[in-house]
Amino acid sequence: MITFENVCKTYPDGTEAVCDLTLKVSEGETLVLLGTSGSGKTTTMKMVNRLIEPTGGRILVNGLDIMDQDPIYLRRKIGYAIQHIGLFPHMTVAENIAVVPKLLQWAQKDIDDRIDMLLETVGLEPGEFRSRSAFQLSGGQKQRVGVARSLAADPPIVLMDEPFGALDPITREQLQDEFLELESVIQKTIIFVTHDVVEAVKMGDRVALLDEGRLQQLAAPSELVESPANEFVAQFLGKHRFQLSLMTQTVRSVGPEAIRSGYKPDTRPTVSVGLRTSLVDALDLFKKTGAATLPIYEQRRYVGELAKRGLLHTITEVLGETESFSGESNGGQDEAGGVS
Amino acid sequence: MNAIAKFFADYGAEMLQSTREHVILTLIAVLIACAVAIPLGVLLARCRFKLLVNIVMGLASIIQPIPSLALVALTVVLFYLINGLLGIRLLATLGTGPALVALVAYALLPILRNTFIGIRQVDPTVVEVATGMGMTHRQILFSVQLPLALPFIMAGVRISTVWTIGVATLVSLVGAGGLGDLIFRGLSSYKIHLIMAGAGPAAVLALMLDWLLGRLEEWLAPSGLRNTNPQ
Amino acid sequence: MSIGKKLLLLVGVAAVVLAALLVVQYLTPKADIVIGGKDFTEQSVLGEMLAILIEENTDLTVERKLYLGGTMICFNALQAGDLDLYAEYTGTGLVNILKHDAISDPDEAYSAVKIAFERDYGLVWLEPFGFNNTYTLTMRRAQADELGIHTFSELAAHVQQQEAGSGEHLTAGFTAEFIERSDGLKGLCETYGFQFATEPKQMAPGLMYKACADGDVDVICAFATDGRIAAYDLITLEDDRKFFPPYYAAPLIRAATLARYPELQDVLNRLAGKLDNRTMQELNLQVDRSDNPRQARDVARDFLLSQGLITPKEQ
Repeated sequence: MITFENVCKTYPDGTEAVCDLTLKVSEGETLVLLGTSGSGKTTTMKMVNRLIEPTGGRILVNGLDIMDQDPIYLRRKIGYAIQHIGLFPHMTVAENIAVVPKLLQWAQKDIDDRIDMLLETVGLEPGEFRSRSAFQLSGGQKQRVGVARSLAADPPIVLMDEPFGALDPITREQLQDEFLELESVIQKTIIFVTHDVVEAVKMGDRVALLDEGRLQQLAAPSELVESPANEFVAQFLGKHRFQLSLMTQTVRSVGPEAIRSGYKPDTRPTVSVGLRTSLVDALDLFKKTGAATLPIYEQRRYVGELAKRGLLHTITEVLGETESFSGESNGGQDEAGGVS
Repeated sequence: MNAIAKFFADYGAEMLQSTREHVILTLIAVLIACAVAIPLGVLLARCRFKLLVNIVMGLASIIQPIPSLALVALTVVLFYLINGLLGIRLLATLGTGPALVALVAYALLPILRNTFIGIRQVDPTVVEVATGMGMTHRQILFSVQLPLALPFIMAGVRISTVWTIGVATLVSLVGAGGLGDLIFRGLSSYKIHLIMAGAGPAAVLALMLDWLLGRLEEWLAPSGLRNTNPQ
Repeated sequence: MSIGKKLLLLVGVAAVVLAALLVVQYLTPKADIVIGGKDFTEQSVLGEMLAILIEENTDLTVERKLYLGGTMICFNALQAGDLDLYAEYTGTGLVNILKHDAISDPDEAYSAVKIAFERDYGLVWLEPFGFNNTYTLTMRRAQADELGIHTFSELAAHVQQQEAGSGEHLTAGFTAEFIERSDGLKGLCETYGFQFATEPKQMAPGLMYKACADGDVDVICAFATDGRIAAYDLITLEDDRKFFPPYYAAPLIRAATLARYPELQDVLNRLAGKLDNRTMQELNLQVDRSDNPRQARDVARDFLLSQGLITPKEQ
């Protein structure tokens, strides 16, 4: 869907923001651009809708070079959400969301229906929030409106630049979870920029880690965490490695001794784990239910019972692995670390 | 009471005439000043050449410190000299011609400066988002920047209008009419009631126009900014 | 309505309003004759007289531009064609405008300006009204009597004694024009060889008289035909060295206007010799007095009626 071919961005004063970037984003995929400030991640994202123009290489959207397309029409087909949201203060929530549909000359009825639908989707009651002004919203509400606005014209591609960055940690996590749910419902190609490695692993189908404009590793979160491609990546994961492993490793990787066959229950229990449930989520469930074992269902098939003890054992092993790893790269431990 | 009735009987028609002249002059001057200063202010705000911006604003600012009476007089002299240089009577040396030039010159700066500041103070984040969403330059100007700059621009227009009403009292000295006619006659013959016949309507006019412009601003105010009760 | 549409509507309305105003201002038919006047009462009375005469005896329309800011504004406007006519004084024309030396003989002064103005400026002096509104130095009668000052020379002597320290300190109040003109303060002080100890205060012509009467100033450059001299019990001093030229008032009109409307010559000359100093003073006083003052146009009209220069309207 989006292809970068040897893309470069060099500023007139010689700064190389992006160097020789080549990657492909598949349709429906969420690609996270991860890096510290100055890594070129935001520049890369902004080149997709030509807010910044590449100085070298090509970017193709749907097979067409973006430089051959009119930038205005290009942007109207790409959703755009930024960290500081930028809600138009002189417009109501409804008017804000309606901006791009109006630019595309949708019928007013369609626009109104879409606004109501989007507000419900982001968890804001339309009747209450439609006519509110920007300063009558809390930070979280503003961000939700920002997301709704970026989806207003149902664009196939959405660019999001640290959309949850300006929120407190609790709200941020809440919105991340809501967004993940949203993603599973809507099929969009998303480029998501963040400096937070935990967020990257949580939100992305694949993660592209950039440093000083160069691609360090492009991989699925689990591969990124388990097999860092180079020293830089390893340092970037830094002290988050344990937490990240718990997020990327699944019940499947728990040893067979922890999974016992059990008697398939007659009715499917309310609480169960899947083979693809992450270790940290499985742990959460054990904490919530206080059970010693939980049933494992893969799709609808009963697979067996997961013992809490077995899970904990696996987790300890992961801790050991990550600790030994961090031990090796102890020298760089303090400098790296994804969160600036 | 009788004295007041007599006063209006004597001077009523003249007050009306002078007020009419005054209003016309003020409105023409302010409208022309808006027509020049608002687009110019927008252009300057979007202009990237600092030097050019400074030059233009500097030129406009030079006028303000010149006492209004001096400016009116200077305009008359200027026109006279130009006529002399050209050898023909191109510009009127008396009356509303030079008066309007001086009035417009005075009315320009508040509007120009406020428009400039108004557009510049618009949050760059908002402009960036508007660009990213696919608005053209013109759409950004009319749908985002101008609405957000509106309070500033209107403040400038209001200041300018009230100011112009005041300066316009001086133009009677160069035969342009207006409420200054009554004021100067009153001063000249030491008749307080004549002074009031001129100054009173001028003050009332200033208040009225300021109020009207306030209502205009309300009508124009974008819906999002109307709810002034934050959570 | 969206704000963009509102702005558009506003601009449209504003443009229409501006166009309408400009039409009203500049395309309404101009009057045939524009009469000017300086910034004091006598000029309003004379101006109205000239205007009413023309309106009643011809078909022409008249616009009045009275209370203009001084001689030069009127004169320049007359030259430029922004005025057609106003009442000027021979002395002013001679010394102030032509920058000649003063001529004390009234008829000589009149001929001199008449010839020069027609030749150099294309402006015609019509017949004088008959009064000499010269600058005078004026004081409160009581004080003048007390100090024994009746002539300019006596005043000069007194002021010089002030310098030496003795004698009562006299203050002066003059109009801006008087201070500036060569036939004003400067020439006066040169001719009579004195200087006021304190800078003379600058004030508007209309305010001088009361200021003098109230004691705010002692000496003013009063106009000889101002009614308030008598009303406030002021006395004019004698110009014993004849510094001030004669200031006989007459209509000053553009030759071009006269050529276009030759009937004006006869009409305006009907006022020739009809106003002497005393009459002019009385008329001025009717407008300037604090007790039931009248409007200049009413005073002018009544005078013209009384002289039979216009016929009374049917009520």
